[in-house]
Amino acid sequence: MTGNRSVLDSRLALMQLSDSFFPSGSFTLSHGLESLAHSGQIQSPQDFQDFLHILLYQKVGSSDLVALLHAYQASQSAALDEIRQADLSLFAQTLIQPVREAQGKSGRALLMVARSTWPDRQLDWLADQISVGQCHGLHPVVFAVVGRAAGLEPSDILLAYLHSFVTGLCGAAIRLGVLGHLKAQLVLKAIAPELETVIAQATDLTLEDMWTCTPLIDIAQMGHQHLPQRQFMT
Amino acid sequence: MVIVNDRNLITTRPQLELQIGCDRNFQSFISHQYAAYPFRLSRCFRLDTDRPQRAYLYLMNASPGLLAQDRIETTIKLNDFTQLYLTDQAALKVHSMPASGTSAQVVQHIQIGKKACLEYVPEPIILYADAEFNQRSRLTLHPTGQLFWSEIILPGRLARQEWYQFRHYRSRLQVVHSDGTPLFTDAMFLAGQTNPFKDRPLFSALPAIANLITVLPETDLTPLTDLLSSHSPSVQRLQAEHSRLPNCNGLLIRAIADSASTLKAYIHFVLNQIRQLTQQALLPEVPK
Repeated sequence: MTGNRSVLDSRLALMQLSDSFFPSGSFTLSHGLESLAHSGQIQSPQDFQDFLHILLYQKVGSSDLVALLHAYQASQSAALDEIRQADLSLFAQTLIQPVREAQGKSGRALLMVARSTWPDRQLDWLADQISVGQCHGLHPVVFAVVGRAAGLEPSDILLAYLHSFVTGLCGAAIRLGVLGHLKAQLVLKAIAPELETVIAQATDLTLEDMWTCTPLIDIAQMGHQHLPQRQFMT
Repeated sequence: MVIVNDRNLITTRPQLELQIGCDRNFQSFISHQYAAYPFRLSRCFRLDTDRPQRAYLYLMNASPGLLAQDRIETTIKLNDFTQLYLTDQAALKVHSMPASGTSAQVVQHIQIGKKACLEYVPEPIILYADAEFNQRSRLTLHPTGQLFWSEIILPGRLARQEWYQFRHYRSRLQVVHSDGTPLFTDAMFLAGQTNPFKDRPLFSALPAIANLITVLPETDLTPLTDLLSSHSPSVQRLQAEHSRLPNCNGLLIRAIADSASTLKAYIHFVLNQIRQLTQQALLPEVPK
């Protein structure tokens, strides 16, 4: 009975954390989609799927997820310095300022909500580190520690992160008029089998191996601030 | 460190060692050099007419380019108060490496001293079919040192319609403070033949890629960012944007273009804006 309860708690925590209703602020991010839609470089659902694939394989899976996994493993073994190292490495390698700032804001928002939802010493430590400037509290790193505090397995936390990333972007595409609601569900279904490949890519890399390669999307993310009107932070 | 190059020559020295010093008039000069095959170094040119303190140097490569198993190492040190503009004579051709598992590697160690300034403007890297190239650069920057760094990557011999036929290009540029504190890392992995996005407009509509980095301590970057934002090239030929770098007073500029020549003109434009901002002579013609 206790075991079933524990599994149920874990499943509910997984759903809660990956739900777009969870107030981490990630619904304010378009990751460059708004710029590309504005310039006409993304117009169709196919363009959006290309955008999603490029981001997943060439940035999220090769950088954010690597830091997340490293932070999760460090959190499991209570290696606090390693958690900080994951945060600092990702910060030093996130060269686009609006992306760094958005990662920090959504990470800190997630931490604030999570501390009251899943009280945990490491979450308190992370908040202290951020407040004294020893850590930036980037979203993937905070997500990892929150996932551990909520009792999630590594595969679940990685899936939760990717699911919330992909659904967030589909939501942004709907708001920008690139996708309809029905097409968004088809995109989510089509991308699902690929998430495992993205996770496998991340598990093969160390912090030293992190890389990104999204030149046009980088340019769109950097140019977002110049748009005359903006719905999103990035 | 043991180095094995394409002649299977085992050596304990980098193929290039270069140290720049400055005299009592703050004129930069080569204070130490050692160049082994494939490198040769030009003499020191003074191309600035107004204040000829800066040394202009060409790195000359006697080989046809990089071949399988090549491992090239360079060490460059700019002493305090020195100024160096470093370029090369021709594009770096990374040749075909038909045997799988073979690659070429370049390792660069660069130190920039107090109030020293490095402008590194190499010719493009051309990735031939079946080429595999790994490049690692570590820059150690004094808190008052200035840097302008550029690279152009061409995913094949574009004029011959050779397009993403290389195996991969991997680059890791790590910049650290002189006390060893990491500042930022620009790490890129560009897959060639196996790249699922090579024919996607969102990835490769403009095939030539450039990364520009500048670090200008004690300089207000706002005039530069304003200028770069107001510069509006034809989006059919060039797209470029900039962002502030983490942990330092610097900018990253990413640019993609239809050709290397468009990117070279843009790099020239950016470097001139930086020189103007820092009250230096405009870039002279650098003959090649």
